[in-house]
Amino acid sequence: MRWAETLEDLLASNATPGTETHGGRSAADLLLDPDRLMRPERLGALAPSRMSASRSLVNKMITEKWSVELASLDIDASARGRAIYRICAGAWTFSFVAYSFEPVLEGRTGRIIGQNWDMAGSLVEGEISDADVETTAVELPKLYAGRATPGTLVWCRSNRSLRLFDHVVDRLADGVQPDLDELWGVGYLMRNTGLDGNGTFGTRSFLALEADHPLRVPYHAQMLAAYLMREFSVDLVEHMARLRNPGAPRLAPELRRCLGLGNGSALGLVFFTNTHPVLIDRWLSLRQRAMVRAAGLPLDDGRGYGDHLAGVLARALRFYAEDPFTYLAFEDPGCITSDLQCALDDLARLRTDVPTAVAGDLLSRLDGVVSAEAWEVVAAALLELIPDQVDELTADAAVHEILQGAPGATVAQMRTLLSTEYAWALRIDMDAPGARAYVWYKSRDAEEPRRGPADEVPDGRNWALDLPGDLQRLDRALAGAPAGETMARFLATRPELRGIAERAQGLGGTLYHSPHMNMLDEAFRPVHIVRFMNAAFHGLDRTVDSQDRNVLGLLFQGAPTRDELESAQEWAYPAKPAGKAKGTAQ
Amino acid sequence: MNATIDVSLRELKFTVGRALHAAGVAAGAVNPVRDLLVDAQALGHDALAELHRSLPQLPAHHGAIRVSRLNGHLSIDGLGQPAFLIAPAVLDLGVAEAAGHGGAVVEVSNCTGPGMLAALAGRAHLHGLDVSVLAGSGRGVTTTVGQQPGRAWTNGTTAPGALLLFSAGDRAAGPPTPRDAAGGHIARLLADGSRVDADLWWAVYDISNGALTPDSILSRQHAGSSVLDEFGQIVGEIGEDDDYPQIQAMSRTARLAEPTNN
Repeated sequence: MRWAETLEDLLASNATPGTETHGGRSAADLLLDPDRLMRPERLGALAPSRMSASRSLVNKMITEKWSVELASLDIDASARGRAIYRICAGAWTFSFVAYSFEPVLEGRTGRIIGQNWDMAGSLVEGEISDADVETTAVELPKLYAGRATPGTLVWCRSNRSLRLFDHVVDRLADGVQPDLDELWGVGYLMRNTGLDGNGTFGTRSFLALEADHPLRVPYHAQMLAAYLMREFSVDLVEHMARLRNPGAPRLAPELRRCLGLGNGSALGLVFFTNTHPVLIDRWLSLRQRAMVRAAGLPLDDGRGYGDHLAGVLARALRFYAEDPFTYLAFEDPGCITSDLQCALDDLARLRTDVPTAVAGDLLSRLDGVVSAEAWEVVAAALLELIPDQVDELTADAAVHEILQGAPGATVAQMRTLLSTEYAWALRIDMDAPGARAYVWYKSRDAEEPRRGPADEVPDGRNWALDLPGDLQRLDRALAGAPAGETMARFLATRPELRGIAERAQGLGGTLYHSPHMNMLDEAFRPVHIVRFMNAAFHGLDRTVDSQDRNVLGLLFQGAPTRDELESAQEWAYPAKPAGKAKGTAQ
Repeated sequence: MNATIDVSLRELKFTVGRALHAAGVAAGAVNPVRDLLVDAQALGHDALAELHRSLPQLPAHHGAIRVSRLNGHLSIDGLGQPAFLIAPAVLDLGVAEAAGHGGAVVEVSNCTGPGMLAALAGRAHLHGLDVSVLAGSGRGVTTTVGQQPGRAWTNGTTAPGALLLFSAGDRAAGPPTPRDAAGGHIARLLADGSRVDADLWWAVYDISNGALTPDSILSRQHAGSSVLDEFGQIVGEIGEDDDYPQIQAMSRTARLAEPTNN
């Protein structure tokens, strides 16, 4: 198949992808087929993995022996004040300032249009000066009208979990640990409501980061800020308890570790996929490529891959079995648990029946047998077999995102490109009822991404990426032009088609840049793309959906806390702590 | 001296792009024009000022040009449009012409602010080409591009158009790589931002906001999962905290922002 050849050319690997097809498709075929992978429902099913930004950052922190220190904390009984963290990453030092505010219930929202946050933070290169701490305190609340101080990488903000935060403070102040079920049922003390960097508000552009900069990998800077918000949330809760009772205990390490950082995301991530096709393609190509490499590993050649895979799947199974949340658009965790048990059973059979089996054979056998989400958990587990290679690929994810046209190409060549790479888009009937039901727009109020029925947004500029519509318009116009005419000549009189022509040409030959979707259609469900970015790209677990457009989830659940970085091992798929189901006296 | 502000590449792209949208430039034409203006700003031209000056005339233009061959080289009639609006077409034609001949000479006439064409060097570099821009009365330009009245250059001289020479550069043609961001004008913009007149920046910024949609009670229901009161003010959030007594109480007295689109 063409896509397999394209990527296998890039593999430069001696590994042999899964070959046992059982009359079905090979693992490489299943992993690399863009018509399968790029459907929104499939993208939404992709599981967090070692390549996800949050996981790869923490693994880097562990491997490179980063240290995180709480340098100062000056917060009063109403929660107003500041904390400063110092992060040492090899020869680099970073500062994180957390500004804490007294919670205000009125007008409380995680949306960017909100004005009241329980904390805001700034991740800065080097040791932050007192003057910059003061300047940031003034500038950060202004958001788009504010200016970050030099060396700032990320501005962030978060709100407390109303349910859990006070419960934990109360329990610790009473001298006991919080209720485990309460902790496990929420999963976080604070919820991220915004991570902004890469030039926003005057922060540093990530492509300009130095070659040895520890945060060069896309989203590592934002994820470090998120990790530090998680640290701050626990430090704050312990501090608030100590202000009430100087003898209050610290949160038990196993409870602290099982808490993540909450995260709420929505439509903005759909815009992100639209405007970063080069990055999306690069990241997905590396991910799927790595999976194909791992799929070729023999299960039982003495190197322990079969046992390792079984171990990861067993941890994943327990993780889903202990999932306390309810999902709407996504697979029920009980079903995923059953499917993972099926995968484990099948893995055992495979190892018995086929001594020469490779890891990818399991994927072939499970195709069509288990749910898409469970299949993708198994695929993600393969990456744990080649951790060093995955980490190496992840470090190579930064790209220049310029889309360059090919003005010397002929009209005929352009049409060939469209028919071969965009057959899915040319097939969509954009005149069908409901095909243009929605308008995607940005509010003038803090640029919040929104999506509404076309008749409810009569004056709204449509910021949707109408890929099917644009490509069809281009194809129709090309059909009326001389086949041998250059695109330069063609576009000289049709400049309104230059954007889509350059996009198609600039992405030519790549396979994973754009979800195969009509995002204007009444049947389109944004939540799949939001989850793709949240789960697969960022690494969120427990991605609870609502209203087909919002996803809440957990970052860093089970990740080592700053006190554990030095000795941490594999941490994905954490188990629910045992033995502290109710508050326990110290 | 006026106050200045350092803006990032990202901010420049967003603001310039939205300003072009707000000015009525066709959606499909915006990004190439935006990128040219960003390149121009990075190369030291006052592209933001040129954009601001030209915004009122943009709604009347489409960006299309007239192409002919004159004395063996390409001649482009800009039809009186701002040079930055037609620059992507000029680049395309120069690159396509150079591909067949190893180099190209392109005359551009009848455009305003032709100094912006110098910014084509940024993109031409990625195609493996250097661009030299000759302008004014020298080197035969006026003999072939003299039909239109002279127009003001951004550098203060007067000329009717420009003569562009596309020639092989020191970079092989090919898609951009991270290395392209490590050197050159975009690298400087990424590292240091662009220092611009603050009043000018906020003037263009305000114009760019015209591409965004005014807020309304209905509009606020097109995102999030908020509890709104009768005035459209957010009083709470449906989500992990929806069992919190105070939010529940507010929910009973407020209108739940049920999505109307799902």
